[in-house]
Amino acid sequence: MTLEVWQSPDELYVARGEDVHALRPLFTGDVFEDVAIPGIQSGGMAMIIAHPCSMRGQEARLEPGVLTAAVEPGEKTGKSAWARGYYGLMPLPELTEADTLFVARLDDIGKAETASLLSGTRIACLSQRGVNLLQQRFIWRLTRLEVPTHQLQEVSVPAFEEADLLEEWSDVVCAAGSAQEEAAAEFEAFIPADRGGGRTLQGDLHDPQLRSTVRVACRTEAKRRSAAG
Amino acid sequence: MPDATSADQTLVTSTETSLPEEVTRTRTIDDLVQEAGLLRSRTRLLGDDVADTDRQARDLHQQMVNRQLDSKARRLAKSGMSGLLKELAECGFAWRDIAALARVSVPAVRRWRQGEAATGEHLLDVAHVVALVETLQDDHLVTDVASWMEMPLAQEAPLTAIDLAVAGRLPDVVDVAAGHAAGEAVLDRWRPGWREEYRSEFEVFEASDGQPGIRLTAADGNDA
Repeated sequence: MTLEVWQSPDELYVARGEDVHALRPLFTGDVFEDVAIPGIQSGGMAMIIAHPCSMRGQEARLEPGVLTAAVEPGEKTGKSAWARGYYGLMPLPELTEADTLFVARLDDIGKAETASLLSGTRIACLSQRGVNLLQQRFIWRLTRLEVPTHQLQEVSVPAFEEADLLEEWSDVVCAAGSAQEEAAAEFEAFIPADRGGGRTLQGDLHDPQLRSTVRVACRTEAKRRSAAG
Repeated sequence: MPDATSADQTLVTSTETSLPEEVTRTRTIDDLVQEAGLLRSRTRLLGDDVADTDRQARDLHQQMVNRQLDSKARRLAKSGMSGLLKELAECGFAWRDIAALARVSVPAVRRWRQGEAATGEHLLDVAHVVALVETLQDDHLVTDVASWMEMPLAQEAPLTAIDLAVAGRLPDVVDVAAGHAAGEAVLDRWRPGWREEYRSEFEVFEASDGQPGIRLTAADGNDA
């Protein structure tokens, strides 16, 4: 039994600190500065561990609560040790600065209020690789089933892509004066819209051959709406 | 029986085929086994020679491709970072992939998009990506480069031409597009053992809610 580990801490994060983009939608692996998790902690750092699909309900609206895990400073541990142990923890090396280690405690979980996450300070977003490693550890912790991260990636790609596209869309549309919620609502109406024969851009994200076409379509539409004011 | 072609039976210097030796006596089975074995040795050595020449030709070709990409990149870099990024965005590349290809973070690419100046080194890195796109489109008729580069190079692994390019193996990407090499052969050179690395007892399937899921692959190859 060997869980996968990172080559370099940088590969775990898409953004940390000031690089975290305010317009990025809430997503698995987001780390917040101060979050109450009922029954676990009244405050302190926490990371979203819910699957992206389970965080959202009808019309992609966020559920009132999101499954999160407590995050706290960890003891310095060699990288290779994470492959064969500490399964109840998700290591977050260099989360805040070099030569530091935080850990998400995968046994200390609960639903945090979505509103408090949205108004709170997000200090990091995991990369696709980071989310895959988190999910692999969590699955193993819960079930003793070892699932290769490349297959977790294959399953999650459409959700990863959609989050990236929403962030980009919001970036463009909000720059022209739209509110973030309004931009997100427009995107959530645009991407699942029937483009004929039941085909949708959202559905096309499942096909690697079509993803670039979906990106172009979303970019073109965001620019059109931005120019239309 | 002496060899009519060469005293050194390990030396093969050309593809010349010698005429059948005149039979002056009835050959024994031992003679025939020896002759057939010699023929196999010659064929193998000839194959080794061809393989070696192919390797040399590939190395030379890839060096030239690299130089061509360098030259194109220097020309393209003149259009500036925003022009280069615009071109890649219009092709449909993900910013995440552009960042990986340019060896920077996604937020760094966003800052470039918003007008922050990039270093000359990063400008050249991005220009190399655009040069590759140009080469694939113009010289190898890849119409949708971003899509092509996101397709797995082989069925048994999710590795793509983008992964190859991120690893700095741009000539290998060109090789695959040109049909000089199959995706599997390129992966064998780049990551020996990739088949074992990506072998899995699981498969991705479409669940009843229409979303992808993961399940154990049945031993008989049918649905689990």
